[in-house]
Amino acid sequence: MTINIFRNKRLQNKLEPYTWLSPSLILFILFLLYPIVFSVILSFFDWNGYTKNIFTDFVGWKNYLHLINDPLLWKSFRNTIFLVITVVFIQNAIALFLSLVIYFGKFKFGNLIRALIFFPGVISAIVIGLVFRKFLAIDGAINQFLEIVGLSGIEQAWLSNQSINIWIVSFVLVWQWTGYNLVIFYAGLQSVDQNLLEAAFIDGASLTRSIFNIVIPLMKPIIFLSGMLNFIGGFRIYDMIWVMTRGGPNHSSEVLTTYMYYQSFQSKGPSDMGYASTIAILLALIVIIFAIIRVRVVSRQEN
Amino acid sequence: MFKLTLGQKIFTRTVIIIALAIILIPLIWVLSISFKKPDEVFQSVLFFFPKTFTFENYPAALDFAKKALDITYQKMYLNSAIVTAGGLFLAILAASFAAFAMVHYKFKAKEGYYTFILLSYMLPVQVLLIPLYLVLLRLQLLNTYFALIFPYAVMGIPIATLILRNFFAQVPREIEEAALMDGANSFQIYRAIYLPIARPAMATVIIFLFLEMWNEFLFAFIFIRDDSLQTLPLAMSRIGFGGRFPIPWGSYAASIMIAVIPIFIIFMIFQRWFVRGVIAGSIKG
Repeated sequence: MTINIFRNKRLQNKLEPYTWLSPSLILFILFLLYPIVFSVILSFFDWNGYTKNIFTDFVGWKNYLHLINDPLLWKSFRNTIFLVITVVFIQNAIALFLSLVIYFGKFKFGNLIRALIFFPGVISAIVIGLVFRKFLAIDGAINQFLEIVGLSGIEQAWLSNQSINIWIVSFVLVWQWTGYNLVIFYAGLQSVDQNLLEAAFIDGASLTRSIFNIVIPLMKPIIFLSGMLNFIGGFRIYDMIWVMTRGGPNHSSEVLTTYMYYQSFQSKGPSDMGYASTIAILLALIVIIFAIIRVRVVSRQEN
Repeated sequence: MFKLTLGQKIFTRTVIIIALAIILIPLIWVLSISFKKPDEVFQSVLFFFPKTFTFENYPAALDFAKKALDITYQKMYLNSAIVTAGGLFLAILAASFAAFAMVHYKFKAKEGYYTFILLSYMLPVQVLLIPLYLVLLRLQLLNTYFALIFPYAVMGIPIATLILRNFFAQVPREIEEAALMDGANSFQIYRAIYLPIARPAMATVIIFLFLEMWNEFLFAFIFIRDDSLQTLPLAMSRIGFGGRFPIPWGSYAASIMIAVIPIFIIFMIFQRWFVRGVIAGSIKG
């Protein structure tokens, strides 16, 4: 690796670390930094994706102002926030609860139980989406079940119901990813100091009290990390929406990522690359701001 | 130590039975449909087990892929394997070099690079979609395996660097200094001292990245137009909407199983590594 073309030994030493970094740097510059800069610039232009010259139609802040008065953007934003809140709070709460139950329940097949709950997280969201599309279809399992229990009155094509389809998608997301958080929490529980629990037991504290007074406070950093992870993941959700509803019907289940796709690549969409870039930048800004908070908190914990 | 009271025992058992039921019912339901004859599919949902087992849905699913999606399952698996292996190889090579630089050397940009890595790990990849498309177009890489390999590598490098850096930090200074005294160059130190210490980390990194790359959909969806290059998630997504023919339930369910069962087997065998990979990826990031 060391290239001995340098006369000056000190210059060579100075450059050496960058030689090692260079494969990463080249990839980052070509496929990450340049694209980001490009997006920022494109967000100040109108471009339909077809004309050869991209940067001819400078429009200033127009795309950004469009963000504010675009009702579909707000719809997507609300749906995104809804999904993020669901995965951050509800999914984490369920995962924490289940991890406590499995850990303190002393199950004979604890490993197998964890593995089965975790398994959906290993499968692609596309395939999970396919499973639930059929499950929720007009002639699917849910409706068949409702008919058996005599509730055929509420049978419907669940994913076409504009007022609840985002709830259904969020249920499926929680279904798929709870095991992921569960595994993280379980690892946290395994590192809880057994002596503390032993002491609480000898003092006559009940299991429930010990969980609330000892275990959960000790788990706080992991709960925070897991929440942050879901927060960042929540803004990325795309595949599941795409395969289950395509953001529809009538944009009712659109999120920022699918709406950006709709504005740019979707056939029969507006093909407004400038505006789509603006949406991408909005998305990036939201996540980066919280990412910086996370970096701060993590480095404070490390100190 | 704590012993469960009878009430707690009943409570915990009930909770887990309900949780397992919620997780498993949709999967078992699809599995059972994949073995049902068409006329039996719409009979009551409660009959999970088909009255007459049939395997005919599986060959039908293979045929459907060939006819409606213009690709065989072998080819889908091969495509997914190529882009995943390529992305993994590049990501781990580049990340292990970078992690080595961050541990072995002192240099000015180190802190800055670390922050940059942390931030890029959290960036939603969708943000890059439009410009990445144009970059790949310019480089004439669209519609090739490299249209996915390069972006996947970039997706994987940040977290791989973070995990490997943590492991590399365990290399004892004395060993490194002794090697330098003996005249070893930095590449020899990387290969003979650093890489062996990170071997367990490599396995977790590989599994964590494997899951991300194997299941990736959006980039494949936009950057691949050639039917013969479809990855597994890409082709599967078309079974729901885009295939040229409507698909019967039996083949639909069998298609899902063909995509899931190999992963299920791998998962069950390497279960512990999957769990470790996820923990490393989430906590150490």
